[in-house]
Amino acid sequence: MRGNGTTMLRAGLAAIAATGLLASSAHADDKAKQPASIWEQETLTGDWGGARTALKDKGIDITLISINEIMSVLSGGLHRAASYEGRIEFSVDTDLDKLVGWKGATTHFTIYQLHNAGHVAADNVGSIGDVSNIDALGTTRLFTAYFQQTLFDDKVSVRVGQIAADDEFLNSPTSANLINGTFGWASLAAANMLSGGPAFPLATPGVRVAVKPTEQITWQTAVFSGNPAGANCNDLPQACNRYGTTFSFAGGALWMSEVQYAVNQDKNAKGLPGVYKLGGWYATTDFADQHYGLDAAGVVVSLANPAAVAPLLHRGDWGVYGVADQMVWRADKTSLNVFLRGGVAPSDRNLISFYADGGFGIKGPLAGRADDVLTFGVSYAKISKDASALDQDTLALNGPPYPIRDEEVIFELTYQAQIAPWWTVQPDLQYIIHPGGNVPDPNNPNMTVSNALVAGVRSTIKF
Amino acid sequence: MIRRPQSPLSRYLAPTMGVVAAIALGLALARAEPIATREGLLPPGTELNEDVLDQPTELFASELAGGKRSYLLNLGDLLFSSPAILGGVARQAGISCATCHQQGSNNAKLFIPGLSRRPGTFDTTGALFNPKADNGVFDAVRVPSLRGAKYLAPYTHDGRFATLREFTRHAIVNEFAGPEPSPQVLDALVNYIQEISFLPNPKLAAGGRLSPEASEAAHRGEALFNKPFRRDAAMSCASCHKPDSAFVDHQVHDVGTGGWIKTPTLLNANFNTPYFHDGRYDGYDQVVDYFDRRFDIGLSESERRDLVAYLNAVGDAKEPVTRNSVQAEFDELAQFASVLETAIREHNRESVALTVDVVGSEWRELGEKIPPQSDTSVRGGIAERRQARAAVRGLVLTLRQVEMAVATNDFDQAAQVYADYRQQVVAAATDLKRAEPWSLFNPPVYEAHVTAMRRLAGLAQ
Repeated sequence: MRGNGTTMLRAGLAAIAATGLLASSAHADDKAKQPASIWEQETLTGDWGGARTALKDKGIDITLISINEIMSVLSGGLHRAASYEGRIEFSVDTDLDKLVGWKGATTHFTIYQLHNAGHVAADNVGSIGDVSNIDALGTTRLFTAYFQQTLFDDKVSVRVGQIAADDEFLNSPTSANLINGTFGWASLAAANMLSGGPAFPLATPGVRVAVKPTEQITWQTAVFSGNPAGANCNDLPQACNRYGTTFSFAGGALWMSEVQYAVNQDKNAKGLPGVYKLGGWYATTDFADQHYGLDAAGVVVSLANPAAVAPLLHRGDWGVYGVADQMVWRADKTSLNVFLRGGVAPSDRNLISFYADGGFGIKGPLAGRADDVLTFGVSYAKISKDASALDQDTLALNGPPYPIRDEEVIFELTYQAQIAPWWTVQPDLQYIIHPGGNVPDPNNPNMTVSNALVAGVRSTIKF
Repeated sequence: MIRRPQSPLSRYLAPTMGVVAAIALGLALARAEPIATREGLLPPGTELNEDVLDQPTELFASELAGGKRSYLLNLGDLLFSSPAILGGVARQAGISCATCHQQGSNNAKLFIPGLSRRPGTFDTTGALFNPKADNGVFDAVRVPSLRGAKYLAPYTHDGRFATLREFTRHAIVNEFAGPEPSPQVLDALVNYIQEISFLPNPKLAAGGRLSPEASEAAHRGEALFNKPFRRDAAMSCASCHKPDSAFVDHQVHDVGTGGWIKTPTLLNANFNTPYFHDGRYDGYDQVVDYFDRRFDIGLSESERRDLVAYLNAVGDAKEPVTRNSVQAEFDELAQFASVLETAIREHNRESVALTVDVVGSEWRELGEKIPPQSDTSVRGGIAERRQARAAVRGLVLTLRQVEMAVATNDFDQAAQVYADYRQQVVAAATDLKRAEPWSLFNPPVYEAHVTAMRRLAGLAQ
């Protein structure tokens, strides 16, 4: 598989080189097409004198997006400090039908360049839900790289390669506009799955099959490699798989399945569009108990007991969830969507046993700002009773004060202002209650990490 | 400029956002509850006088009569040591009834800056423990002993409360910001307080008269105590401190100390310093001086000494303090934990939770009296100490299992775990007694430990 990935990388690099050549040759051509005003074009660099469209027509679509943001912890959290995070995304999609006449076949890869100025927002807040959904270890890494084949009039699609679950599972289009990571790959999955699960910034080898028996219904199921970090990782998962080229087959298999029911998706539909999803996952490997471990003699003891020297393992882990995202009101250039997501996972082997989030998004909230989006969301992550019971044990053994973890609640309000089709500027406000779920502050053990107010602004530029 | 008609959206948006913001703010305020250490919560210079080898002796009426401690008595006794029945700072700082009333007596060394004017006094209407009860007056009163409290109604220094039950509720809810106590909590606490006996005093005979064991000076003092005052023949010391009535008259009097104050008992009073409702005096000589002046009794120097001798005889007790030991702690914890047997059988969740909390804390504190290997002030017994500390941890965690079983309504499992716990206690007793020579129950070890702690505190400053 490693070889496979390298091949894909090479293919990607070849594509970049080819793009450069084509672009320069296109530039030599006549300037027949008058470029649109820079404020109207879809991308900052425009159509490269027609080359971009030409490439696309040939089956090669190149995406380059730069996201830069500053997030400042105004109160609470671990450090009252500002952080900078940046992510450059380079993706190439090929349509093999157009390119070589292979019907229904496409390829895709994404490479991220991730950078920050030391402390990232998540370090400053200490929360389970990552304050920023682009926050990651500074590195250049391969994210997804896959081949996809559609069959039977696009009713069936098979995707193979290094894939990510957060691309296609547990998604709400409305909540995706929020910056906190939990409104994308919810902490129900991110905090419970091995190494955070196959989601940004770690994708894993896997296969996904999607079947679309009717226009409304899609059933998709996937099997991923269980641990995106790879085998024997004793560091941050992202550090173990620093370049995204570990192509891990460690940690058993993670199965995910989701049924989607979409209504009024057609542009001419009279009713308001919405999508409803029910899904779940099952991981085959062993998961450590949140409360108990084993002592040297193999007897089950509380992890709070220093005699516990090994984890108590459970075979397998699972979770189920639902997503609803529905437009509830629409006028000329304004529409209101609401979203609701929620799910559960077994308490004994998961940090988060219940999760729910909800909120709304308003597209075109102000006159003359039809492409702006105002989004509000609130998430609730309940710490499993077994994890809390461990805190109770620690409290009983070591005496007060010791906080009992209970929940993490995140409020976020964000406004995506579209300056140009290729540039959005997004001020953001987050309030995080019980960052980490109500845990001692490492800087001041007499206090819990206090509720954090975070303000930030993000710029997203499509080149 | 053309005014756009207001869309339904913008009409609803502002109020919606307002409601959302209010909910967010409300949640935020409700949830912001920092934890803090006792040191962080109580003012610097606080002395709770907790690390003592010698404990005030506590005797229960039922046991003195040859009986046993009842379920209610044991429950009340452990609740008396439970910060969980109080609220606010007391609960967070691990303060319980027993902090001020050690073993049901008083705590003459207790000092909390801002609340204590002198050691052994405490302002029950200060801002620290219940801001809602803060009366803005620094009116610290002495912490009374609860020995013989059932004979000493009414309650509090000004006799505001006719019954112990009313007073106990008041102390929990108003003085220490606790939640409204359940009837069983009040029943148990009142039962416990009513069981706390005066300590036997061989110098006293029936009717509150001195026995032959008292000194001659004391006997002369007894006569003076009963002698009518020269300015008011209807009055003597004994007219309020009635010897045949536990040396009280159940009345309040204005004796010029600041309002109407309840007559305090003189029994076991040698161990109830300081004196007067505000704790202004440290010795009987000052007390006698005061009354001599106040009522113009006209006592001579030798008469004063005789009266002081009399008060010393009346206020005495046999074995006022008891040396603490591993065995004594085990005995008390066995009594406390026995509450679980009944509570589990009766599916009494509240009692189980409170008992597990208190007994777990007591075990933990017992474990802390066995210094870990890292404590360099103690030499030797490393294996024994490690084993004993592990045994205590095991007991604490087994008790947690009882609590968890009850939390899931599995009372059969709880009973099973409690049986296991009792087995474990037997084994732990052996471990702890083996480690006792290197524990703080051994006075030289205790001294070395305290000296090291003081040195550390000095270095920290």
